[in-house]
Parts: sequence; C-alpha cells; structure tokens
Amino acid sequence: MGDIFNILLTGVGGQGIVLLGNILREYGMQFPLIKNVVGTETRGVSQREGSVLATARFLIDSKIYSLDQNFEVEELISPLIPINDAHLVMGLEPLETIRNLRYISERTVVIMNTHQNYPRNVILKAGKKIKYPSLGYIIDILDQLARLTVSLDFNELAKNEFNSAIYSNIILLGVGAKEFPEIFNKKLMLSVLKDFFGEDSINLNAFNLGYNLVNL
Amino acid sequence: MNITDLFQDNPGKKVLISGNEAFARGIFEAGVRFAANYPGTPLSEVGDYLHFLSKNQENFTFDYSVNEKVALESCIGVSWTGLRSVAMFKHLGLNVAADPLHTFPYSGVNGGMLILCGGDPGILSSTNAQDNRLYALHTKIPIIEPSTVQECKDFIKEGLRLSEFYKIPIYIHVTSRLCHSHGIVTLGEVTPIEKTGTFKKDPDRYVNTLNRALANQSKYFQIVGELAKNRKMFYLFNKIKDWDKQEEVKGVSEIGIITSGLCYSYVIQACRRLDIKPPILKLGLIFPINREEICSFANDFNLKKILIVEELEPFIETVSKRTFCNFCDSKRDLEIHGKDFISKIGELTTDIVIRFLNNHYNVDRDDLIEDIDRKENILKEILPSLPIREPTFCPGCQYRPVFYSLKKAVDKLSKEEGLEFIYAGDIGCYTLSESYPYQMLDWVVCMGAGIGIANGMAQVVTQNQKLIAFIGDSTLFHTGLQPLINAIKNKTEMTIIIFNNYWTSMTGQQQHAGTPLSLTQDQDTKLETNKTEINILKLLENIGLEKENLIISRAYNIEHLEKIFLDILPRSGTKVVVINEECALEKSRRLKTSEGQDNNIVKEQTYYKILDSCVKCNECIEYFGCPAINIEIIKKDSNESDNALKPENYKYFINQSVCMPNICPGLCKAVCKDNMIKKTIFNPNNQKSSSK
Repeated sequence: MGDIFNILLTGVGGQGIVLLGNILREYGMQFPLIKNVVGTETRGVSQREGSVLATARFLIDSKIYSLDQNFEVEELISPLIPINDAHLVMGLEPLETIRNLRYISERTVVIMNTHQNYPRNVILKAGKKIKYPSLGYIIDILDQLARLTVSLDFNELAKNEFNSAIYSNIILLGVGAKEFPEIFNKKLMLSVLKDFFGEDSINLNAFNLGYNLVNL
Repeated sequence: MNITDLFQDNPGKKVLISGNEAFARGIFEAGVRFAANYPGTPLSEVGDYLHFLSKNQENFTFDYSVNEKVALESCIGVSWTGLRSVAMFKHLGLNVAADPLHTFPYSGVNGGMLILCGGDPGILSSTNAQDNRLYALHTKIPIIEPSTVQECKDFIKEGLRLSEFYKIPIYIHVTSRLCHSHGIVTLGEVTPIEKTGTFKKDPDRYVNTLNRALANQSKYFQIVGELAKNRKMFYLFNKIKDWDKQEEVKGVSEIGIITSGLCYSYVIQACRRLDIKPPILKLGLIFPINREEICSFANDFNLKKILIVEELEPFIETVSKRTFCNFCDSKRDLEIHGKDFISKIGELTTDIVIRFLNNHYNVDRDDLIEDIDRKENILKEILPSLPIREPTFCPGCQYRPVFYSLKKAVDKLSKEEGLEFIYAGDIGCYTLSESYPYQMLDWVVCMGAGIGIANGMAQVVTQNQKLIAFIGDSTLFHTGLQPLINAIKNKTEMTIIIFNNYWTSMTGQQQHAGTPLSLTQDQDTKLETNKTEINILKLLENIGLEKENLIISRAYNIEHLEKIFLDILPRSGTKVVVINEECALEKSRRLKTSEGQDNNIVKEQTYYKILDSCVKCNECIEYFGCPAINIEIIKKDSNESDNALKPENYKYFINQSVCMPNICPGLCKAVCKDNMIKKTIFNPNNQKSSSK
C-alpha cells in the first residue's frame, strides 16, 4: 500500500528529457521507500527541437502525499499523470512548461529553465502572427496555479559554471531533488548519476550545484 | 536498459524496461525461431532489438521484410515447419497483410505464431486511428491484449502456447502508450531454439481451393468456437479485480466494469480517486469471449449495470451486448454503457474515465469534476495561442537542398511558363515538406499512395498542371513499385522524385532491400554477407523507363539540382529523378562510431559562423530553413506587453552542437546572398585556423 508521487519532465528534443526520465525511474527502482515505478515518454515526429514529455511515477510507502492513497503495488500501472496531479514539474523550456499546464495545480512545485527556445514559426516572417508568450506572462500563470515556482536561466548558469549548457538539466534535477527530501536521498541520487555518467563526471558537480542552489 | 543486458539469461531478475523491450524479451525467452517486421511506430524498436539479437543468438533469424504482407507470409512459412514465429508491424501494416490474414488461419499453424500489432488511437504518428480489433469480426482471429509491461512479455509466451494448443495464429493488440511505457518486469527462463523444422505436405490442409477451403473454413470456425468455450483460457488471460480481500464485494455491487489493455490502469486510478470499488473484469483475451463466464460475472456480482471502458470502436461493448441479450437469460435487461458517453475519437485518459464513472455512481464527487472543468476552461483559453513546434528535416538533412532547389525551379516555371504544380506525397521523412518553409505537399494517404493517386489524376488534369510525386527508397520497395510500374506502362505524365537515402529513416534508420551492403557490413560482419542488395537504378532501367527520362543526382548541389528540375519538369512523359544521398543523421552516427575507434587521429574541424554584419535577409532561415540556424536575443525588450520578436533585438547564429559540417558542405553559406556566413577550418595539429 502506498501513495503516488508524480514527476513530469518537459522540454524540447536535445535537452536530455528522455535521459532525465531514465535517471529518475532508475532512482525509483533503487530507493527502498519506493515500491513501484512506471513512466513514459512521448517524442514529437521530429528528431530535433520538437516537444518532448516524459513522466516518472513512484508508489511510495509513506503517507506524505495525500492525493492517491492506499494504492496496492500492482495498481500503479498507468504511465500517464492525471489532470492537475503533478507533484514536481521539471520544465527545461518555458513554452513547453506552459504547454503542460494541464498537470500543474496547487500541489505542484515547478522548476523552470527560463532559457527560451523559439519555434521556427515564431521567427519566420510567414508565421509572424504566432507569438512566443512573454516570460512574465508564463511565470504569472505558473504563480497563480502552482504551489511554488522556481524559475532561473539554467543554461546561463551551466555555461558560467561548467562551460556548457548541456549540464542545465542535471542542475535542475538537483534543485527539484532538494524540494522533496522525503523522496530524494542525495547520496543515492549521486550514486545513480555515477552509474549513468561515471565517477568523475561534471554531472555530479552539476547536481550538487543545483542541490545547494535554492533554500526555501 | 542496455541492450546486451536485455538478452541475458537471468530468470527472476527484476528490471525496469519499456513495453517494446518487454516484447523483444518475451520473444527471446519463448525460443522463437523467426521474427519479421516492417518498421513502424509504435513497434519499430522491437524490430531493432531483435535485429541486434539475431546477430548474437544462434538459430534466431530476424528479417526487415520489404512490407508487412511479406513479413506475415514468411512467418507462416516458418510456423508450418513446426517452429515458432512472430510477425510485427504497426496497425496500418495489417491492411497490407490483410490478404493472407483472411485465408491462412483456415489452414492453421504448427509452430506457435503471433501477429504483434501496435495501434495508435491518438494518431500520434500515423495517418489514421483504425481499430484493428475489428479484424477479428471477419477473420475470427483470436485477440489477446496486455495491460502492463510485465504482460507484454508474458503474453508473448502465453500467446505462443495458446497458438500451439489450438493450432491457429494469435493476434496481440497493443497501443502506442503501452509500447512506450516503462514498468518493472520479472524476467523468465530462456527456451532454447531449434534450428530446422520440417514441412509435412498436406494438400487438403494447405491448398485452399474450392471444397478444400470450405472444409478448412468450417474446421477453423469450430476451433475458434472451442477456444471460446474453454474456461481455463478465460482465467489464464482475464482477471477479475476484487479489491481488498477483507471487503466482500460479491453480491452487493450494482455496477460492474469491463475493460482491457492500458484502459484498465485508467479505471483503477479513477476508482481510487472516486473512492469506489466496483468489480472489474479485465479482459486479456478479448476475442473470442466466453459466454458463460461473462454472464456469470454479471450474475455473481448481481449487476444491474455494466460500464465498458475501451478506446476507439465499441468492440467489447458490441460483443458484450450481444452476449447478454442472446445468451444470458437472467441478464437480458442489463444496462450497458460505453460509447454513449466515451468518444470513439482519441485516446482515453483518467479524467474521461472519472467523468464516465461519476456519471453513473452516486458518490457525490462533483467537486472533482468541477476542478477538472475549471482547469479545462483555463487550458482552452491559453493553449490555442501557444506556438506549436512543427517538425522539420534534421540539420544537414539531404532532403533540404532538394526541396529548396525544387521550390526555386517551380517558382520560376510557374511565373515564366504559367505551369501549376501538384505534389503527390507519401510516407517518410519527405512528408515533412508540408511544413515551413517549403509547404510542397498536396496529399498523404498511405504507403505508395503518392504515385498511386497521381496515376489517375495525371490523366485528367489540364495541360498546364504538372504532377510531382515524392517517394523514398524504403517506401518504393514497400508498395511503391506497383504504382510506379503502372505509371511507366501508361507513360503517365508525372515527375517522380525517388529519395534514395539507403535507410528506412523516419522510423530510426533500419536497413531495407536497397541498403548498400558496404554500409551494413560495418555493423554486421557475420550476417550480411549472405544477402543481395537491390539496385534501384538497375531496376528502373530494366522495367522500361526511357533512358532520357531517368536522371540521377547527388543532393548537396543546389545549382545543379535546380537546373535538372528546370529541364525535366516541363517535359512530357513519366520522368524519374533519383537522388542518391545517404541519410545525414545515420551517416554522421556511423562516422562518429568509426572515428571513435581510432583515438589517435585528431581530425580537423569545420565551423560555420554568421557574421555580426548579417543584414537578416532571412534567406537561410526563411527559405532554406536549417534548424541549426537559430536566433539569439541580444536585447531584452522592456515592453513586456508586446511580445513579438523584433529583428533589432536578436541576431542569427549557427548552433555548433547540431550543425553537421562533416556531412553538409555548408549549404547555408551557398544560399547566403550577401556572403555573411564564414567557414573556418580548425586544425588542432598546427593550432592554426584558416578562414574562407
């Protein structure tokens, strides 16, 4: 018996969403309090820069999250998160974060990378009627709907600290993990990251940076 | 999961894998001798895993067949010799394989045989949502449907056993959501594979003509009837959810639920949310249905109402209604609901099931529904205004110069000679020509329907209207050759552009009949030596296409291509342009792997850069449209209310992490009229860079 904890990952192709999903689900497999793990990923038709979404759902042996109580272990089989039910949203791109507003509610913590990736039709003359919503508008809506929104240019941070924007997803993972200490054991997460990237990977520093970044 | 780990013999181990990985693992565990596939979402990866397995597992053969009909027929051949086989493809593939599907079950099978078919109810990557379960109504083929990742693996084994017990083929129905789900699976034991089978001649059984076919038909119908009556099979595949053991639900429920597949998980979630515990019959064997058992589900729980939760067509609903009405004396007045509430269009979600159940239960959870309504109103307001991300060709893609130069040629011919062009589309990466900036696509129906539909249209359009049909190499082998031959036979007026990129690229670069052996041998030293590569050019020359009407070109020369198109498009007759250029994505991956093996060689690197003095004429981004070129905001607009991007606030740049300078010879530089794109070659050996 346990409760369900829902994580939604969203961004564009190439940002490492599928990888983050794999890391989180692998973590779920190893953390003793998590009794069952499911998840999915949907990729757009395009190889690059299409919308990407992944989920990780944990059945936790605890009473912290009151939403879906008393599930039996074999009952957690739907890989999709129901409407309003995300606990943690890791948005690697603002437009893709707001596109998945469906899952965000007063029980959701949103960690959002403010670095914008402009779709082609926003840049092209032919599509000038279509506008990328302003960052202020996106953050306003998230503030209204979510329990907590942490927004930051993780690309900028990753470039400054590690000389490459590719570490933005793991820094963001660190921030998200800190928000839910009952679910994310720092030591275990680092050991999972070691399995994925190797002992000396910069990704471990990136996670630590994210973990120590925000104190709320 | 690491692919080598997926095929280790370690029974009892718990692993986290996807539905597609579980299917491949199931085929491995079940000792299947032969599997065949034509790639298609959502099942493409299963073929990829099995292709890998075939290189490492003795006595296991895997074939990327030219199309689904051939894949299915090959599997029939293997099964008739007494060995196990699995044919797999997407739901649309069954249409191509429908011909043998309607007859071979009369003859039955010997070795267990499965048809594994992936549906796409949300049309996430297909051209329709057809519900393949309806095939059971006119082929009588039994259908099983897994509802968890564990069952994806287990149903392969159980399905093969079922197939061997009754000596008929079994169909596995699955939807894209489950294929791409990840879940925990306990691995099972691996059965060894026998190498050779024996075909015992039996004309009465295998030669389906006249009276023999009639006799075989009645035999087959009888077998399916027996399977329907087998209670053991009913309980092997189907489950009744009785919630907590301590709470006795039996005898008190008024409402019961029948469902199958992943929909079961939405039902469970909805019940938990509404805090209701109705008896749920989860069907794993969805056709044929055991009449007595389904009646006793209604009787045992004393049901007055049954709610059916399923995607697309009312398949379970129709079968259940018929059963209760005709065969269940005590339940003739049973209320059955399903598609009177749930739409036949689109995928199911937990929210829809919550609404459905709430509609029939008296649980007073209208607050929940109001919550959902409130959110959906917010979504209705915000979502339509958000820009979507249109798919386009990859950076460096060899199709981009073709469409760019074709568009230039077509614009010129339209203006100067008053010609009008109609674009016959087909299924493959070139379908993306529909999006910005090319927008050259007038229809997409099914594989081969580009040239196919052009065959008729070309005969009746006015003289200034010219048809251009696009088709890729893999699609040509699949179902494109027949319409092509028909066009050549009639000298039908059209220009056919064959994109020969050597791979089935859109589904993940699988090899096909025309893939050069020199490319596959790098990967598969053991297997590929025994194959023949089909040469498209020789094929075209030999089926009667006039020499002057066959043009062959590479892709990365825009001027050359434009000249070809200007010359060939106005001409009469059936003309074929073959573009020979390997898929850029696959080529770059292959080069990376071969470079990676030799760490000592430090290669020089090429970069393209847009100069700051760029005047933003937009040719590269607006007309050429390479996604490696993007914008960088250089000045934040203080006026937040006006969120349109102003040109003075951004500059163009080339994203080095996606640019493919080792494949593309700098086409952005070639299209730049003002020469604002600079090529830099960096040689790490002499630490100097040269610019052009």
